[in-house]
Amino acid sequence: MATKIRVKPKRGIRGILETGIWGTLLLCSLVSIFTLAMVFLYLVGNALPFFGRLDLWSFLSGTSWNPFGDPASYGVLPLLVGTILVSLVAAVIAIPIGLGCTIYLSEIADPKVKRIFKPAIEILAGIPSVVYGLFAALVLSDWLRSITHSSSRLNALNGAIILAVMMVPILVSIAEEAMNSVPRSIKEASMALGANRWETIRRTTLPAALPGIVAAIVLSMGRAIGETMAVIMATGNATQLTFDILSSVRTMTAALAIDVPEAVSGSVQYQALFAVGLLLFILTFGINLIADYLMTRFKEAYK
Amino acid sequence: MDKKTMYIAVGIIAIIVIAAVGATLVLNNNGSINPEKNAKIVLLKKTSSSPTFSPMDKAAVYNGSYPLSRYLYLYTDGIPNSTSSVYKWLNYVLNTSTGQMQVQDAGFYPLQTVDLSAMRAQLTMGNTNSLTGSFKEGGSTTMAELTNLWAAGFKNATGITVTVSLGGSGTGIANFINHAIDVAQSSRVMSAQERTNAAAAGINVTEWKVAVDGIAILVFKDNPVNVLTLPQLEGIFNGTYTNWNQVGGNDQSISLFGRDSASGTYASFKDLVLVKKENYASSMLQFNSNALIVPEVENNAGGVGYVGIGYAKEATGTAAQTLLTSFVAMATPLQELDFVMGNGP
Repeated sequence: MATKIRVKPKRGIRGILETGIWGTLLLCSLVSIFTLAMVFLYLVGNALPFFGRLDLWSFLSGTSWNPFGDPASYGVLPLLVGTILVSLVAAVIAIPIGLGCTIYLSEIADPKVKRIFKPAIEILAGIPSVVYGLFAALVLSDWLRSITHSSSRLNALNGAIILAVMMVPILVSIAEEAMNSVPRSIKEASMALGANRWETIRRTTLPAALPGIVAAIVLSMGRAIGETMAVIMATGNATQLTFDILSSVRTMTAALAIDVPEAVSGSVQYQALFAVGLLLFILTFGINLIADYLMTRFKEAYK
Repeated sequence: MDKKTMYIAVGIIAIIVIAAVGATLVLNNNGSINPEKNAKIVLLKKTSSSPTFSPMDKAAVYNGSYPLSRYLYLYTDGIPNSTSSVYKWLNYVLNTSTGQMQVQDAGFYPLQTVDLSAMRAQLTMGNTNSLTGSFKEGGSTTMAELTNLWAAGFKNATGITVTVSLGGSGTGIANFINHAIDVAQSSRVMSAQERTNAAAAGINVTEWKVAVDGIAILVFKDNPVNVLTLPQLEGIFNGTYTNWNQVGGNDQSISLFGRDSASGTYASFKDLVLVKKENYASSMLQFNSNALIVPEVENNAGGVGYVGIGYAKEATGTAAQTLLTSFVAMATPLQELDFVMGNGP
């Protein structure tokens, strides 16, 4: 860890300026923390009254989501299963492809090839998600239908594939940085002991880069769970509880985007939607915590 | 990274995108690029012994013989006086040579003379709402094409800009109650709860009928089912029937395509068809506009969906016909939406 350079502040104008700049930078970090705290407090503040009207267990285990129905039902289970189904399948598709791409780019590719592929992948990351959603709704769904002959053209698999396409660029960028930062001496030592290139990658470089790779996976899963526009257009938004990837599902993000414009401020539906938002927040937060823990554990083992 | 490799990277991506689009055009014979119409309208009858009616039959829609007839509405805060721009807007809309002509262009049916006179009479009683200049309107996606036609014509005639936003009737009404927009367009009536909320927000809700719509039921072109009774339709959309062979069709599972809960069409269809006050089947795919339902039905052999008449005409390529049936002598006013099933024309 680099030691911080401490310099005694100078007197006079330069000293005041320096302290002033430190103060402004401190203000910037305070603003970000403050914003995060406000969002969390606002979420909790508006979601808690909902749990006064309906208990937590029926909310989490209810199998019907129909806040504007007659009678209304507020079971978040179909939405939760929808989110997890779509994100998990997307991860299953994206992680092998992303890792394969990373290993190829950082270890095997010719520098000239790398100079073309890397910008291409970064351009993929910059495409707006609504364009991906359009592609999934109009083109990908037809391709999938001709292969799977499912009864529903817009389904969870359609959403999962387009999410995987969106996850890969993030995964590759971060994982590739992690793999590049593995010290050359480790790789050279491995080869000196007789391992060929694949064995070196598999047994030395990958384990050494594992903290960064885990971070990459988690960040891309965070994007997948939080993605709204593409899944709204790709999955069909049926509120059914199902584990069948070839049927239509609704994710939590899609439910928020669909129902929030119609909710009247302060009504029970408004509070229910905040409860769903809080659940989403906790889910993403939990994943980040797990990633953090894994990263520190592996860091200790390999450094 | 020098310019040359960046151009090569962009070039490779462009080639991949063009190849993908080209492959789609070649392989995708049933896509939306195909001008062939793959959906058809189902005729409806109230019970198995009633006569069947089509939403294309203007007279049947006007007198209520076609079961899924409804009005399209605008909601304002009070009745505007003659200096306000909202008055001029309503004057334009409720005029047979301007607004009501454009209703036909959008594929809906203009108001009957009785209703039009009633609305114009209401317009003369204006005493509030001194809004001048441009204003905002929003809500129903069913009425989207119609209000855009009106706004363009209105701008040409008076120079006043009307900004139309969408989001569904429910969203429009919620925005109207929150004072975010000045006029709400809706394909359903405001509920009692919404009127209470509006009164609490200090709004004097005034309802204007502006056009007549028939909700059309679309199915895949090759589906042998051409006629459905209302109870069958209810059973299909509440999940009781899951296969077309239960209503006289082939062995094909039913795929439901509908609107989401912010939509007025969702609500009016529910009131007219799901009369036992049950909810839609949870397997129904929900879309935020009429236009998205049509390609789904066209691409799914077991598909069934509900859309406003304007979208159905476009989807099936049929023009409006004015079939004379023995029940039509003179136009009788359209009944209010609390249809009791089984009441004949």
